Amino acid sequence: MNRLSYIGARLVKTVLITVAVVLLSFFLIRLAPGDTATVMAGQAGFADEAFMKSLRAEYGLDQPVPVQLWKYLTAVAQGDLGMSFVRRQPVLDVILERLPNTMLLNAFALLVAIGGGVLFGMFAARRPGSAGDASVTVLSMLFYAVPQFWLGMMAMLVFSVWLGWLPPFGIETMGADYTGLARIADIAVHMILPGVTLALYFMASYARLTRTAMIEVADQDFVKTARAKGISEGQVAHRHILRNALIPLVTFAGLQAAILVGGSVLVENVFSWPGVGTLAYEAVTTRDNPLLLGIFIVTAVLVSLFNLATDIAYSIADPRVELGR
Amino acid sequence: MAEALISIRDLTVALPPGADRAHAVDGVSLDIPRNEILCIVGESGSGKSLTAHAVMGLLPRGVTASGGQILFGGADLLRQRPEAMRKLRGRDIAMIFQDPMAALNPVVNIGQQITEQIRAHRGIGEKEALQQAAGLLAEMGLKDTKSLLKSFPHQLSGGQRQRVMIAMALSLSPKLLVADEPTTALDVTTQAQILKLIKRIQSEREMSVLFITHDFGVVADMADRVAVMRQGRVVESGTTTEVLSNPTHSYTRALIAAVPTGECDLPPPPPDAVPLMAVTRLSKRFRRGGFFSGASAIAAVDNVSLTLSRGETLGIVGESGSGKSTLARCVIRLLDPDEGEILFDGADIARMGARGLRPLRRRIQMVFQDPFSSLNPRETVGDIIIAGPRAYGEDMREASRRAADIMRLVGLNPETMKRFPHEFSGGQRQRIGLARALMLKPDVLIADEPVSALDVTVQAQVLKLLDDVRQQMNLAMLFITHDMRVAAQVCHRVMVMRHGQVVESGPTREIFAAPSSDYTRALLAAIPGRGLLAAV
Repeated sequence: MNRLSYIGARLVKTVLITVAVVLLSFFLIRLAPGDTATVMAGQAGFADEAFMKSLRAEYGLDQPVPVQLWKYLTAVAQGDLGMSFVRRQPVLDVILERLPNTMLLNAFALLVAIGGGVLFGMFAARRPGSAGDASVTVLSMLFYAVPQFWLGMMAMLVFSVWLGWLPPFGIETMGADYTGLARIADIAVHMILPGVTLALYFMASYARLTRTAMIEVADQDFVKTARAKGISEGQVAHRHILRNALIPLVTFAGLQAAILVGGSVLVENVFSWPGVGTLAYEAVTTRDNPLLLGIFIVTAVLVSLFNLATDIAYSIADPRVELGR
Repeated sequence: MAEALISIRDLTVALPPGADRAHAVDGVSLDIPRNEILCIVGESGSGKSLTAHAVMGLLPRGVTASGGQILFGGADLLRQRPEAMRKLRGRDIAMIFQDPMAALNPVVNIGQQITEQIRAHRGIGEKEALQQAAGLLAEMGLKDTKSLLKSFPHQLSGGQRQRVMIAMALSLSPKLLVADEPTTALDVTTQAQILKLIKRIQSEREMSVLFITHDFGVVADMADRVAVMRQGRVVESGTTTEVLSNPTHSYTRALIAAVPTGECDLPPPPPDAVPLMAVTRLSKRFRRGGFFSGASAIAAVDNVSLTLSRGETLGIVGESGSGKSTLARCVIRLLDPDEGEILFDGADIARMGARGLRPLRRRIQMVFQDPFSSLNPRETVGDIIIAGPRAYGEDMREASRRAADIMRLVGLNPETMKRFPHEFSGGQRQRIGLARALMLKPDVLIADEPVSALDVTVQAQVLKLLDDVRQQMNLAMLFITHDMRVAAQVCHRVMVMRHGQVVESGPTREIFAAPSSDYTRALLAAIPGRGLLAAV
């Protein structure tokens, strides 16, 4: 089977998965007591029966559940994720407006996590059992165990409040209206705290993984061959040990890239990052079911695509892997 | 004797504290002559491989050369700085290893793996280095070198991989090639080709070869001089003809005697025996692909028939990929055959369900190739061998009593039953594997390469044990092996397989005396040291 037809088959599966996600979330959301109408009525300050009824009629909430589901499914199939109850905007527009921010933050976090994790892992693997190795192990256990939101708040306290080095929240300086390079620099500075907070947890696991893989690969025969050739230790480490040790990391990073999409909810909220994570939180608190469903669907599609990208990356990293076999 | 290229003087290699002995190599002195092949022969733990690694300056972590000298061109290699040793490695001394699949980096293409060595020592560009690499591959008898350079190791055959390794080792015209069991992981016919290749390039390039092997057959074919090592010491050395025709040390004599010569003196099978098992037109295909692409099937076993009687041993001989193990796994019904029947004691078990098979499973038992991975490391030996009868409802006390008897039968002390598998040697573990199978009082014993992971002297003992047990218990034995010499020792009849099909079959003596197919002839011709050893 060639690569293209494999990708085709996977895309078909992605569609099936998305349908399953839609069905599942549609019913799950209905398990929570109350609906949008009760929340809006609560915000409005009074709960007149006629007002509730008109609200429910307006949003189609008075229809039988199967009818609501059918309407929703046919609309989604046409790319229409419905209207946000609260924002009164198309759900898709709301999500697409926030998605780039989340992607930017996650891409940055992934790069920091992989780069830092591999560097620390290589350092630890140089002398297993040494003081350097032990301190990497202890640090990674720490970042692995500490809750992310607490880490985020501490980072904010130290680097923004006490030291004043970095902005504590938001994506750019309010009202500064930077343009061009200045704006990019401004966003980059804002990205550091949430990005690194998000990355630390994953960096810790990448460091452990890289360390183990490097030590394991270093014992393999082809590393002995490489030394027998008389090439430099640096080349042995990079071309032969690291290149092979990174293969398991590809799988891991792919899985975690998918987790990151959903996992940034906490960190985005701590740092008020205007991404999909904060949006999801708002949608939950305001019972904005169409918006929440839309976020679920978009996330599910992204996760599926990430998994596909991982498999393709894996087949590039390891020539022994053929897609579709 | 020719002038020495490298002189090893009183080499001592210390093992890390806590190992089973203090020194792996204990005062070894050897001269590696110019323009000759020196074989170091010995069993596992003899220190032959560590001696070779010490010459390369590539001793494993924790293992150090604690004494002696390795003199090369006036310098002591043991006292060189790491950078000086690095420059020497690959340029003056090159090395090839046992398993070429493991010795090549799986994710870097062949071209880069060769050129990085050339470029590490000579300041030339990638393009020029690639041209040299292509030339080297051609010299090794490889075709289509251009596409080979772009291939990855897993795309090549075992023989091709070892040729690539040799090409790489020779890329800078070293003065010494160290070959550490370079053919042990290869098929017999491939082994013969690689041995011939090493011999040819040695004489063409007039270099020295330090050849490590456990096989006196290989020594007979390859060596100009030979050194026999045992427990870290050289017990005997001399020219090959001297040592082979007039071995002075008893260990050398034992080693030579343990090498099966490929001569068969077993009687032909007992006549008119009623077969206990009859396999007819058995086929097994493996499928790959599916869903979007067209599925394809490979016939691993193709239309194979055989009979097996009580008290006889049928050898199934073939190289890797011949389908011999798949056939065994079908017969024991670990795999479901696609076609054909397996009559066992009157019942067809080829398509029998799990429930019907259960009472029969006990009667067909198997001994596996790898004595390390085939025993559960977390169970004691006693638990392992008693588990079978217990599963068939045998009383605990009765099973334990029989276990002690069986342990004695396979030559183990019954008191060691409380120990765990890792406390035993390879040969002892294979005896445990056999004890486990015998505890179920089988009628058929399938031995899948039972001795190929063992040293020659241990191999001979285990083969003798298998034959004794077969006679005592009147077993029907299916003996699977890639080694014609081993088959000649224990099999009454042999069946030669290739690509899933039977090439020929018949009484072992007849097949060895007058093989009817070219393939069998090639297999027999590939037996290392056949002529020389037989003459000794």
